[in-house]
Amino acid sequence: MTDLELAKGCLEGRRESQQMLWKLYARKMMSICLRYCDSRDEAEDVMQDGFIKVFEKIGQWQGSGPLGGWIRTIMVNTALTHLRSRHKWKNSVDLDAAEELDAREVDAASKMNEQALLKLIEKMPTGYRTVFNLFAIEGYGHKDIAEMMGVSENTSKTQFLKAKNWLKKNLVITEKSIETH
Amino acid sequence: MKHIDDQIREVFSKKLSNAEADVSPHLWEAVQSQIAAGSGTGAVATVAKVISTKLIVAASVAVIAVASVVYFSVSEKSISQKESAVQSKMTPNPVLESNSQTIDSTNDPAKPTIQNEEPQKVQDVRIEQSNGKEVQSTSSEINSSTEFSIISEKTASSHSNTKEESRPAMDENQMIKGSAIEATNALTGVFKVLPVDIEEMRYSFQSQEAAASYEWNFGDDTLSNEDSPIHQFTEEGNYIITLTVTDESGLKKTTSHEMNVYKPGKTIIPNIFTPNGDGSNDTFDPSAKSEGVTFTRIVVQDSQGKVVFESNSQLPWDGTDPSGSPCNSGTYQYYVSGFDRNQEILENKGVVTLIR
Repeated sequence: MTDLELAKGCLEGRRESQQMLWKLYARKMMSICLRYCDSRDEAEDVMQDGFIKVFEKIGQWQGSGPLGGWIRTIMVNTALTHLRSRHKWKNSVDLDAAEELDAREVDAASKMNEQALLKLIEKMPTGYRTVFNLFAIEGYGHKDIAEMMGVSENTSKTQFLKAKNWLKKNLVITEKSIETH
Repeated sequence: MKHIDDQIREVFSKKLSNAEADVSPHLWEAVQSQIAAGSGTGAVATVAKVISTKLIVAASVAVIAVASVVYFSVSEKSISQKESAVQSKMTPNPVLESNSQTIDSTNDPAKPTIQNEEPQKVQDVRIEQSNGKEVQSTSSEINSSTEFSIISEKTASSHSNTKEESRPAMDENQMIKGSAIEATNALTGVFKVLPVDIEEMRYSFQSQEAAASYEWNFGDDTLSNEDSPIHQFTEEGNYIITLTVTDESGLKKTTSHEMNVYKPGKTIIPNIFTPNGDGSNDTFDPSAKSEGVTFTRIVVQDSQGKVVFESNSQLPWDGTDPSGSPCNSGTYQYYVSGFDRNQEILENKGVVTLIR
């Protein structure tokens, strides 16, 4: 079944198409929700809201890009809306002087398996995790992120720096804990 | 500095942008119960959205009322929610007017313009679904009971859904065609089933409430008295899980759910076949060696991208094109998809060589 057929089926309210779409994308989207949220409960809320939106708005998918990308955008956006409701993004500029993440640590990250890396991201504090997700994984630029989160571009950059500092500390810990096994 | 950012992007997006995570089986039912089906009108956006108390509590939200310009303040919403719960006395999971949907206030990259006509239809259905529930609800209870109430409602609705839609084959993998057997008190007997390791047929069973005691029967002659046991099945099959919860006063509540326990299917697709009529490897047959999979789609293209075979069943390809003339020796691309016995979608694509 092509994306187009699937979307059409959903638009017509066909249960099997709706279910098929869920089957195809639920696991991926769940992983996104978990990356943005603090708990599984919260992630499930976002996931539910996000998919309801997907089904409501599926008629607006233009068919220009892949359906999966469109669903993903909605999901990320739902997560952001949710976070905005309970997390005040601060326009902060203070930054502890800390060393930058270096290539060695990025390399360590590249050797971790997907699930371990996912767990690591989930542990990152919500404030800069959001920026980290948007920048490093979803691939948005700081300008877009600033707009999406309603903060200044500088804040986005600062938060990303914080995320890197956090990663520097926590990647090392993870490395050690792997060695001791 | 630029450089390291790019490296981070490369590593993290490669690893995580397509990552997957387990999805609680109840989630689909939650979504399904809130989206329109079978209207045939094309206006899918008819949803009576239930806003959970959790969300309300956390709702110093930017709520924008939809197209119709109705705006409920947060406090109004909580009040109306409580009222509806108290009035109905049917479910602790109240239904809100559909035009009070919560929407992104800004920056939706998908550029939503929300259609929100026909607000009545689905709402009616929901109330109907809630009928017959014996869960008492007062406004003071709402906070504590919302978590499981969502699931308990699902339990009831999924039961009716399966019948009405007569699509048992597509029913949710592990959840939950249950029905309350007796309703004697405030305990609901509701539980969740989450896969721990599907390959090993290990599942986590989680009671959704605090009771004085728990008695699980996993339908395979094993029992447990834990509140949330993990159980491993030794054989594939369909099991009826029964939970009996007992409160301090000794009142019992029993719930049963049916679940399918199957290892995930495997697609094993041949990479070569020889349609020469010698009785060996004469067709391209994805189902022959695959395990536990029913194929619903097979598409084969030649090297120019022309579709030479297309099927919505698992009938094998005999190496001829749609006009019936034999295709030449060479490589062909295939795409196959189907369901395993857990109704999980499996897909595969690759290259098969035809030799005459």
